[in-house]
Amino acid sequence: MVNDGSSGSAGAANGSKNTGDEYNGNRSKLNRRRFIQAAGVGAAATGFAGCLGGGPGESSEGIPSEVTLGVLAPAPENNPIGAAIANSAELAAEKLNNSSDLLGDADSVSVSIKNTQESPSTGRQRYRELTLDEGANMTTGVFTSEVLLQLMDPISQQQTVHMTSGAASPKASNQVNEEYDKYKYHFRAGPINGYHLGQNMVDFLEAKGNDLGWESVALLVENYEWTNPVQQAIDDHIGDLDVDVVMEERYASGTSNFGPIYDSVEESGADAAFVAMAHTGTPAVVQWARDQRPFEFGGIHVLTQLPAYYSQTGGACRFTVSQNTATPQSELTDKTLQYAQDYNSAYGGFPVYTGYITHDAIMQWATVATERGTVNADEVVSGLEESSYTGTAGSLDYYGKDHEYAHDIKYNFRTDSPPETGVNPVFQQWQESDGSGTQEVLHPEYVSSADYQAPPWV
Amino acid sequence: MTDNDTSRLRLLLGRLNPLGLPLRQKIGVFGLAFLIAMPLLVSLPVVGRFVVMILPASSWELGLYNLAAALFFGMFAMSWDAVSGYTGEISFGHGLFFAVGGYTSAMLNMGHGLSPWVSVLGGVLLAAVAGVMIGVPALRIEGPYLSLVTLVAPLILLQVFIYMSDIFGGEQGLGNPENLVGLGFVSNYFLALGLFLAVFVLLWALTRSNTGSILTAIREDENAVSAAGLSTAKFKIFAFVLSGAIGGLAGAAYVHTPVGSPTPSELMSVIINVEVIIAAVLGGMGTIVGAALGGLFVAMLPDYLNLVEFTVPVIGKSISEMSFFLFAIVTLFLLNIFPGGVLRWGIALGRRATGRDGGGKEGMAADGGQSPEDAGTNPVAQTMERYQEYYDNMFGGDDK
Repeated sequence: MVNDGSSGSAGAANGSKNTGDEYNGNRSKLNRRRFIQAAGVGAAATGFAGCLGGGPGESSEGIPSEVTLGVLAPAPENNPIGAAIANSAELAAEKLNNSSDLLGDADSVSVSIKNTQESPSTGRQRYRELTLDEGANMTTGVFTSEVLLQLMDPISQQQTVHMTSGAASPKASNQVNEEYDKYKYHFRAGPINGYHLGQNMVDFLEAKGNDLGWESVALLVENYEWTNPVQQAIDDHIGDLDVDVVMEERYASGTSNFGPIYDSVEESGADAAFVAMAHTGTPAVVQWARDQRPFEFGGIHVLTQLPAYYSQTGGACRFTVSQNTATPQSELTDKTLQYAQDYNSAYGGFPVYTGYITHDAIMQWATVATERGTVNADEVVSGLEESSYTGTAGSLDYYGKDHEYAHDIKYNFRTDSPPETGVNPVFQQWQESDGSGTQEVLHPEYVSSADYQAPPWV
Repeated sequence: MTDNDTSRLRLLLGRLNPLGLPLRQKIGVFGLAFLIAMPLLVSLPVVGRFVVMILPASSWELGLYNLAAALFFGMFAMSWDAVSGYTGEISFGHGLFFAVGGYTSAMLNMGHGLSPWVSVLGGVLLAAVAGVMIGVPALRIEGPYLSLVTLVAPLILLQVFIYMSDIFGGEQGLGNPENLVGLGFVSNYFLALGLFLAVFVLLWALTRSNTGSILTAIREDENAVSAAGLSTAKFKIFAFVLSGAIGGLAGAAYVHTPVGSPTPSELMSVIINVEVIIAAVLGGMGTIVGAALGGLFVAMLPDYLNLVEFTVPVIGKSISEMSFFLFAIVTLFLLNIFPGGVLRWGIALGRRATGRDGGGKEGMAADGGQSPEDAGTNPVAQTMERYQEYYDNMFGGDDK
């Protein structure tokens, strides 16, 4: 058989625990390959008239003895976001291997991790290696929206369940809604999609506006694709609040000098800068703290979500507020702190948000596959649609196929209801205690660990 | 049929007979036959195993996809070579043409519901127009100044894409347009191979015609061409339009396959622009054959490195993690030892081995008849000389 010899080595090359024999429990897959080969040659002979699907139409029934989880992460060796995805997948596989309840019929659960390099073409290629060469039973990960959107077609081609755990673009779920039968294999286990991220910022202002004392804000949004739905949602909903938006600026991608922008914020008299920043976040925070600008700072700041960010910026992120999925200080469910501690003892540091979500995605998939007694993609898709699983970040429920955000994780609109009724991001503030920084939780009420502290210079 | 006709026919048949070809062309024909037979070979019981081993992937399905992607990159490199390799006007932003072709075709297909076969033609047309837009300034500005224009043009386009992201999708690019021949591994491979061969034959024939000689002459001495009463402007614009149209064709077809998509990082990033130049120079600038081979090599080397599971002891990183770094090192090394390109070196080596290095008359040399050893006349050296002249003038050197 053509693939036998080489697939084992590819698995080993990429950190897969199982070497060789990964198809043992999956005979029908081999037959499918032989069929496609024959069909492929036939198509070649007839002047490439044929259109080969390549999807695992008759994928295996039951739980195979070897279960492979495919993981796509950006630079898992040195990017903390990618590392959290990869490490959490390893941690989840270890849990599954030790569990007699979940995937009990499988002898071993292995993880194969591939680096997307945040490039759509590399991501597509690695995804195909995972599904075609290594026979992954499900895939998870993917941080960059650009990569995710270019994976939607390969996912529909391979018909393997994919649970996104980093990218937030609602375009993916729009595709599921528009062409359900084709794209139904995609689920977003988190974070809540870009539009809901923006809505959640407004909901936070509504809930905590009095404590913060922000009567007017300057909206600063970096000009990248991911902020489009976020800004749209803020524009749609912030008018319902008693908060004045005195300035709204979508500043250029790659901005590194925030002096002129902050001058305008000062002139506008805003109480706070309400931000959506990922790529440009560090100079923004450092210049704000260094120049002691007379306004407060909060919103979505992806980099301040990193547990090591306080030491990385020399404490410049102190007093900044940011949305986050979970922190090592937030007991969202009874699984949150346990997971964070397990992660810390295994890898010597705390995970970022993609870690919590990847862990939840794999555990939910395993739970559904166990309930259904199969890893068959169509069965698992309908299982996930009906599933409500309480993970480390809250309750994972998905919008139905007729919803515009089909198969996206449900956002819990009631800001202070407990996490069992849907996912509700937390808002953290970097505060200092004993000379080191901690991500204290301000909101929601049921996990809040500290009161808001305004910067002393404001 | 007269004797004359018969002898002509015999001559033609003799030329087409692969056994009568020079060695390097025999190798080329064999390589082509291998590429065409590839999908058949992988299904054979024993041979197939060996074929999969030399493919840049761990299974034949992915191997064919990766090869298809490499063939598209080969077309990108050939389109660059057609203008920069021959006229010596270095384009640092050929991704502009790939992007105009790819985005136009994707938008016509997704936004206006045109069949991808029709929309690809639209992409080619608009890329040719882009060729005029870059070619016309090339009449007034030359050398490093033109290179700057070509460098900046795709950056401007990218900013337009980001600024008008509701239309162009910003840095995420557009979604997935319809595929030309579905998702099949074999069908897409043959689509890429067919286009690659068509582009190759067109450019090969054209650059060996009188037009090709004039373009080469422009690189060697533009004043001499003008003095001969030929309009260099006309030929330069022609080269840009041709190159743009072919780059646009490759870009447009690429986005309608499962291996490509209309995103800035795949069609017009700085890395793509640089890799295209590396591919053509490495293979052999101003030869088309060299650009085609260089394109395949540059596209597939990272795939091969990705398969290596060796871990470097001291730094504890695996080869596959460092694939881009190693790619750059290997390229730098090859460029240093083969400044005229690997193809020229290979031909010279072959000639020495077969004892023909003095003959020079058998068949046409792939580089248009120049001696491969003479560094002073190789295209890279000629282009460097041109640029040197501009720099000298720029900093107040003597006006020669």
